[in-house]
Amino acid sequence: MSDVLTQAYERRASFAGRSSLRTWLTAILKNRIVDLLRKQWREQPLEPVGDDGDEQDFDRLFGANGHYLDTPLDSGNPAELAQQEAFLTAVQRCVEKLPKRIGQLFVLREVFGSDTDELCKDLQITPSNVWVQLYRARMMLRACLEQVGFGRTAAG
Amino acid sequence: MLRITCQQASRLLSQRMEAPLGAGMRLRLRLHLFVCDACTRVARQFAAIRLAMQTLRERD
Ligand SMILES: [Zn+2]
Repeated sequence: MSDVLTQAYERRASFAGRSSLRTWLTAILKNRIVDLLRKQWREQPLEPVGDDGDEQDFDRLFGANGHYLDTPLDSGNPAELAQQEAFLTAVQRCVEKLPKRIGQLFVLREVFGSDTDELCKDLQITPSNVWVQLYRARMMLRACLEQVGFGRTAAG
Repeated sequence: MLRITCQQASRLLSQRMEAPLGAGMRLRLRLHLFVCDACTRVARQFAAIRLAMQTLRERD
């Protein structure tokens, strides 16, 4: 993940106090980050992908019939998993391993809550591009998390 | 053609977290999940990732 986002995330974590204040500060922070990323992405645009994305994307995971070759792990109840420290640590670690642009997009989406419209406007990319990149992010994250048992083992 | 592959289903699972799917795609995905344990697990994995990010976001 980029330094900007890492710093922002760390600083954000230090915002104590009332949630309204935190919400307000987060909004300011989000605007500043979006400004920065907007400049970065304008200078060096993301490689365009077709509406169907890259057909080869993650092809090796699937057999000739289009089904998963390795059955995905059963991660159990998502809400319970999302409260487990070991899993949260693993998620953070895997997000940090994402390719830079994909990580930036994913964090804007899942930490700062930007929706497709905002992401398209702020980063000058198309909706299908946003969706393909977020799909890639999620597929990379699930592969990364499966390496540590997707929360079902003590490893982490 | 109502049948879709796991690869297509996985893309739709991610896409529906961003925008509502059209009726046709929604039906195809539903039928696929009905018979496919693998994609049902992927759906739960995607949900766990989103909820974990939410937990991290709401933390002080
Ligand atoms: Zn499937």
